[in-house]
Amino acid sequence: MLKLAVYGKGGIGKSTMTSNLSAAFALLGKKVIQIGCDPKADSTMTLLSGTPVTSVMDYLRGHDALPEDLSIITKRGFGHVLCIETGGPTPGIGCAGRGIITTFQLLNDLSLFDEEKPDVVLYDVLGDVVCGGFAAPIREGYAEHILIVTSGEKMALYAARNIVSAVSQFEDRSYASIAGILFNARNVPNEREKIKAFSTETGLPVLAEIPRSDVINTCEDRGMTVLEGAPDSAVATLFTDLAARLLTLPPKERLRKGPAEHRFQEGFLQ
Amino acid sequence: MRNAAAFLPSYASDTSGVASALYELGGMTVVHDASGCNSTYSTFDEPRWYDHPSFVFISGLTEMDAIFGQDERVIEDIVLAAKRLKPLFISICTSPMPVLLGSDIPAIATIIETRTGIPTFAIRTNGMNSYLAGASRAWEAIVRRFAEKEEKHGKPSANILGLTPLDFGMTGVGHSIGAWLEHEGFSVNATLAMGNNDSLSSVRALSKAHVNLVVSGCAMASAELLQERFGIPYVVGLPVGAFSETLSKALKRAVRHCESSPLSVDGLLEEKEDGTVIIGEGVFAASLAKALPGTSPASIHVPLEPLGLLNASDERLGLEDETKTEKAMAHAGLVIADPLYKRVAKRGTPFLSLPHPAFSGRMYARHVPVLTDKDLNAWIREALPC
Repeated sequence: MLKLAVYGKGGIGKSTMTSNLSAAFALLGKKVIQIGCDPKADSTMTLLSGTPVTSVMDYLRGHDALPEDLSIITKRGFGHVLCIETGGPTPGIGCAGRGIITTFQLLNDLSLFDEEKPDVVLYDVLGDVVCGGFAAPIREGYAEHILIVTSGEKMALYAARNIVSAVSQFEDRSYASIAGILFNARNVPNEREKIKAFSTETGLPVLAEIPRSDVINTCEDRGMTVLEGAPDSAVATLFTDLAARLLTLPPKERLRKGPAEHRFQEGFLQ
Repeated sequence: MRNAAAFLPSYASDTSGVASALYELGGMTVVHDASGCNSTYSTFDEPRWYDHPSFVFISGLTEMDAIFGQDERVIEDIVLAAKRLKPLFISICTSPMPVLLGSDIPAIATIIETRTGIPTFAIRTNGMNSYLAGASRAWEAIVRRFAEKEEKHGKPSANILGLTPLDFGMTGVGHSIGAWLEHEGFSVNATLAMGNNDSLSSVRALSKAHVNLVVSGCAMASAELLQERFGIPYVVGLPVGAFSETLSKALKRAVRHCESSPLSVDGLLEEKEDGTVIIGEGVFAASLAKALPGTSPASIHVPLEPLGLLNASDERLGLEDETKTEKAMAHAGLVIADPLYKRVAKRGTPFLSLPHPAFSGRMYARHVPVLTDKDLNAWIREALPC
């Protein structure tokens, strides 16, 4: 199973990248789950033609008990992708990070992975790693590889650097490691050179360059990914190629032989 | 309102269950919790604390640890203690605070194991479940990590799984059950995990047994794991009164046909006018209900996780609020329960005290009976006020 977490500055295009990748994996014949880890609960909208899934936090807000089965908090989207959104508290109150942890625990308790048996799982995570909850998707047993989305803009690269730094803190925890950079071009001056410099500085490969494209925006306006709305476009081909290459990523090597099994059996994961 | 109680205490928590289950196995148990709470796990809920040393610690979680996520401080403390004390394993479980903070305890365990070379594992607790859940997960983890494949030989042998002072007090019940097993033709291979003089080696040799006798719901998960890994069948029940004969037959059938028997509570959940109501841990209560002499039908009320019971999904079982407990006793001709339940029993209802240390702690510890040795008729006659 390929398990990817997508991080990057807010508004940089993480959900766009993630949804298009999900659609591309699906069209390559893979069984895909996309989990949006953002209180806004808007990660999977372009896979669902604009009709959102009930987020886990929305469900919990309105009910006094946990959902009894997965169908209440999941929805099938384009390419049969299973869409899930953690959602979060009302802005300004509560704890969104805790919401992500609660959602993941619930998905384990409902045996999501055993029931669905996916080939690919994508976690679309809010902005920076601001607290423990936002690192939950890269904990052992969840994502194995991290993709950092960035443009050549100063603040996007600043956020990307912070993410690299945060992940390096987790090396001895057997967390996910960074597979590389997804360059989402914004057409700022010397953008390609800036990304190249960042790649050299961090030692991370640039896995794909997605050019600024009106096709993406037009498809999003129609509630679609480019794989669905413009399957013959050049940018759709880019996502398909990227998905095919990501499928060849080797599983992450773990620090301790078999700890995942211990986690599973001790009740942390099902 | 769910799980509400005005007059009754709560049962010992899952963290106490972990500490109790692993107490004699030679490891170090760390509860990630604020300083001061160790008294709960190590003294109030642990009668062995005063005469049997064990490594049970609190991490001393502070406000700054919470804000800054200072896992490294906890890791360093545990590594330092482990290097000095050289435990055979390290288990880490959590109080509600780190659960709400989302501390990654399995990752902390991985780091500690890497640094010390000592097997280290996290046990999922939240301080809000009962001791049954904690002890169950602790034994499951220990069996998963240490039980080895061993050859069986000689006459049929049995493990006694599920012994902790939280259910049975310090009464020597393990010896009593062991003597009964010998009488029924089984040698005792190992016990989990009270009265284990050889600590972890007993766990390693659990697979030598032909059958597991599960005497408390605490041991259900480990019994299922031993069945899955080594093909050892299990039988659930406590050998008391007339039920001992049924249990003996079930054990022999289990060895012959490699067939497990969870404990059915069919007919024990219906309220019976003027009947006997037994309140307590499911395996204990159901075994006693099936063992009671006389014609008065017994029913059980299990205000805990119904582990080990065949009918575990029955909604009449499981954690409930005080008013339901009160209602369960309303039409009883006799109530058998921990003395603290008298507070919600109808005045004048005959009440037979059966102290349960996980509920009333040390208050009635000296009065916990060993029912496996008793003639139940005589016990009821002596214990009931005239």
